Amino acid sequence: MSALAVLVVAVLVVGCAAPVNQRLRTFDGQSGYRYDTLPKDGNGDDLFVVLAFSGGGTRAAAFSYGVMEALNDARHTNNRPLLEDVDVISSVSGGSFTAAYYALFRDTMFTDEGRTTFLHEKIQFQDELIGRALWPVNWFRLMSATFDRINLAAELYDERLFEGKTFRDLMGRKPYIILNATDMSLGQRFEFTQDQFDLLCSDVASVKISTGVAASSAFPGLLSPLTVKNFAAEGCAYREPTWLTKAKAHTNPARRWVRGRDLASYQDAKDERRFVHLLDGGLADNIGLRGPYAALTSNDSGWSVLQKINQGAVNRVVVITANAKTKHRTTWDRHESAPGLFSVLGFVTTGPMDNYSFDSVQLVSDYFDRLRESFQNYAVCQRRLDACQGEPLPGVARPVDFHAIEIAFDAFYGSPDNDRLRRCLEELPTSFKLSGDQVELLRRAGYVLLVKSGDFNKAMTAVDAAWTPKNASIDPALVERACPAPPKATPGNPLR
Amino acid sequence: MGWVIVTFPESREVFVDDKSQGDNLDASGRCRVLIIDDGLHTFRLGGAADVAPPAQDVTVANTSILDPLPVVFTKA
Repeated sequence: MSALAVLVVAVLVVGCAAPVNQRLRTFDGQSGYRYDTLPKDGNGDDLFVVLAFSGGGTRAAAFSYGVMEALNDARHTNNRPLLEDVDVISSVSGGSFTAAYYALFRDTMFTDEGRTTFLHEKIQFQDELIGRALWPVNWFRLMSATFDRINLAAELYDERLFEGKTFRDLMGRKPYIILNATDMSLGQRFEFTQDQFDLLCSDVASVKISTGVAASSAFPGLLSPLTVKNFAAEGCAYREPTWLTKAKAHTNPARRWVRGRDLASYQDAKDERRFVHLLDGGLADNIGLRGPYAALTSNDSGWSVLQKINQGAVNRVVVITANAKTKHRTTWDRHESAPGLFSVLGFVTTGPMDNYSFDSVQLVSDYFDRLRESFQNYAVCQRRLDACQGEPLPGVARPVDFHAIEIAFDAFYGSPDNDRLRRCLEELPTSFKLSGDQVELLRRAGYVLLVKSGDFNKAMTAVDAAWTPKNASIDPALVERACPAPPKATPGNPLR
Repeated sequence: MGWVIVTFPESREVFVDDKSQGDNLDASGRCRVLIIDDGLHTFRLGGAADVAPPAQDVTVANTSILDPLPVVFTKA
């Protein structure tokens, strides 16, 4: 009898799994969760600030928190915090927790209580996640084909962090939060925005924030992929954007063509692609910078910065990347024997990601250099024409000032203390369980690195000539507590 | 990155792939250089329908700020 009851309960519970996304009945390119539909409310595009937060579990969440805290303290004209000028936050995996939490709860996150709650309680959920997976009732739920470990994680994030909020709750004001996952079939970035969900004939506004964060942080192996339904076969009177039609029609430039072909596959192959399986955004882009790069370099993006420059709407562009990358030192090269299977697997899952992250940061920086050079060439040429009373050149949009700022642990160097601090930070594990001191150290590192960044100081001085940087430092005792030094050998106590 | 000027006898709003890029002329009546990424794009002008051609597909490539690609519209 009791076995039957358990079976009935199990069938009922298993039968409850519902799709994480809803169908969009009628496509409307002017509504939904898009950059252009967000009210500006005193945060116009003139000073255009983009943040990109990397993956890396609690390490990344606490590090990006510290960067945001420093931006909140960076006051410029009329004591306005630079954080209030942030237009877009693009994030991956661990960084997505901070980005989404800030978008929902704003400044309360930076009070003493808010900080303790977020960093030391809510984001430290690893034990609870494992506990839920081991809870017998959830075994039955996990037997369902439509409910997996990632759905369990999303439930947990919803209860602990995001309080049932959906993307509709992000539509009230900037910044525009872009949570990035990876489409397993394409191996490409998949973002939780209406521009992306249009292709699925689905309404992202009804999707829970916890779902987007779970997809963005679905680390392969530990968590299962998150599945969203593609409603394209059911139709929504979708109208393909002109840029997408043109991109598909022309193989040059190849990057634009491939992006167009991949995006169009949700509609063009709607019968074969009825579901989209998403994994950790870090697999396609571990610092969340590829979306901003597309917006900075093309007119195709839903929030194209080039379009804003052409319209004369942007005066200054500041891109800040918080990169919580690790660097595990190995002894592989001391031995003739090849590294074992786990070493190889560890390397192939993180090595290519780190290389790609480095490339992404360089791409943005190089692009800004090229734009700066073009504007300088224009100015020089015009001056020479003016000097010999020549014809004026065609006009350009007002000169735009570009700043690319990368905040990463490797900026701690040049002294034994800094070397020790860097090694400590780089060797912290990627998990959602760190000690309180480790979390505090990461938070403080994000803060100090931004405040002391030469590129950041240059950008702030450009924003407000009267701006002066704050003093900030890290207490060596905190480093010692976060990463205790191994005991030293003494004559009476030799270590083996 | 690509650089383009759109010529027309009057100041008109320029649309590239249906997205506004501001006007073709600046306040002093000079052509404005627009930044348009390389590749195939559809150009058209806003305002009255007295433009020829009404729209045109143009491939942007090999341009510079000092040598922008001209996209020419005339009065119909």
